[in-house]
Amino acid sequence: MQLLDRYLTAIKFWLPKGQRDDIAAELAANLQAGIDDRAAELGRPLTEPETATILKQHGSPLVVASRYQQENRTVTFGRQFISPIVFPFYWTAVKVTLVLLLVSSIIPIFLFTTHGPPFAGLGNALVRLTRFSLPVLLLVTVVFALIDFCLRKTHFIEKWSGDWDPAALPSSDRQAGQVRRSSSIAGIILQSIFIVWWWNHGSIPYLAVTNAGAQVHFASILTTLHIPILIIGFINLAQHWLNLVHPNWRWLPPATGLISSFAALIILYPLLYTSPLLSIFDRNGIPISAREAATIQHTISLAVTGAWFGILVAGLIYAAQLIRLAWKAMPPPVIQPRSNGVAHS
Amino acid sequence: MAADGTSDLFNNLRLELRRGLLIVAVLAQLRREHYGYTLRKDLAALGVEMDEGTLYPLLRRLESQGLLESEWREENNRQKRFYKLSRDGRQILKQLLAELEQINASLNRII
Repeated sequence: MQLLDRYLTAIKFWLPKGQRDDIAAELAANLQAGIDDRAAELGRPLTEPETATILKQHGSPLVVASRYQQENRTVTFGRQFISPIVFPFYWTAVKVTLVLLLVSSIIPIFLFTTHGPPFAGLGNALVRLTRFSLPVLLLVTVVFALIDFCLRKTHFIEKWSGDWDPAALPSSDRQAGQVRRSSSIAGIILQSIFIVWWWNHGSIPYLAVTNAGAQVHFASILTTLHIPILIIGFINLAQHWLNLVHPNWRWLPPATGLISSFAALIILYPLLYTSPLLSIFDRNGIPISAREAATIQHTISLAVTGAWFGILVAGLIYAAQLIRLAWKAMPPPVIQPRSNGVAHS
Repeated sequence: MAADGTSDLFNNLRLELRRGLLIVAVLAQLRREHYGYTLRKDLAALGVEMDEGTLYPLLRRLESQGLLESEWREENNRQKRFYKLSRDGRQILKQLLAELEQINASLNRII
């Protein structure tokens, strides 16, 4: 029974949200009937390996859930080229891409509009977005169709399902504490937005931050941080994708967080001793007054120092989380029976 | 390599051929009420082997198409979902069986 619960919990993770409980209840009833039937044949309750054999025949949780995705076709675009197993990942990528395109089209209007209300450029931006979305979505579809084609050609899913072992399923308690899918998807979206923004950051010589046309020039050291911070961004993005596929890898977010924090502390350390980090010019290209500049530099220095110590604290929290997970994963100590006080010589 | 290709092709064609016929078999069997597990067992006993992973999602799809209706009920102290053919389902099954008979007759003439 416990193994069946673990199996159903694993399937539920991949099922469409609205029908999750209903499908799981129906599967539970059917699988339990099969288990009862087999037990009646043998004249005794099934052992865990025997139950595992029945579950293995039924299929791995991801494969089983994908069959219900196939029947629950609220979305049809892309299904012609992409199999139901790869489809949830493809659909996540499509949603992330659409959010990125939307954000990258709308935000610059508010940041860079120097004349007139920012809403004036909204119409043009939406037209550009529509025109640009189609080829990008086509590219995403082609990439996932190729991945799917390779998986099918190499029979990867069949081999992976064949090796799948129900006994290796984590307990329901551990699955309840697994990394949530919504959290991974949100992480993918936010991290992708950051990467796109940071990627473009190197090519922007200044930022017009006000409608009056003030310009902000960054210190040259910031451009040397471009690639290392981009790499950290990609590492974090990879972590969210990996947790989407392996939600049970609860150690991955704190491990990635610890590595990222440590790397960020090293990368950002020189900033603590760099001044000025940025220079501000008015619309005519004349630097702002020395007093104003000093106030801004002081605020920025405080912010950088605060951020550096904030990352340090985050790193310590990630380290504590990792230690806690490692502690929990350790087998309980074996308690030796106490001797009755008689000395053995 | 070529043998693999032929066997893949055969499997694909076999799946395509079976897909529609299995739906007819399920609809016909559900003229009498069943829940997923017993339906699969009864079909297997009649020579129609069907994978659980295919049958259970198929039942939900046929229900969402209005061909089946279902009801949760207790049996032997366990809650089970029983399916049976709906009125629309009966109508469609009748048409499908007529179509199948016609295809069968034509195929017999060809073969």
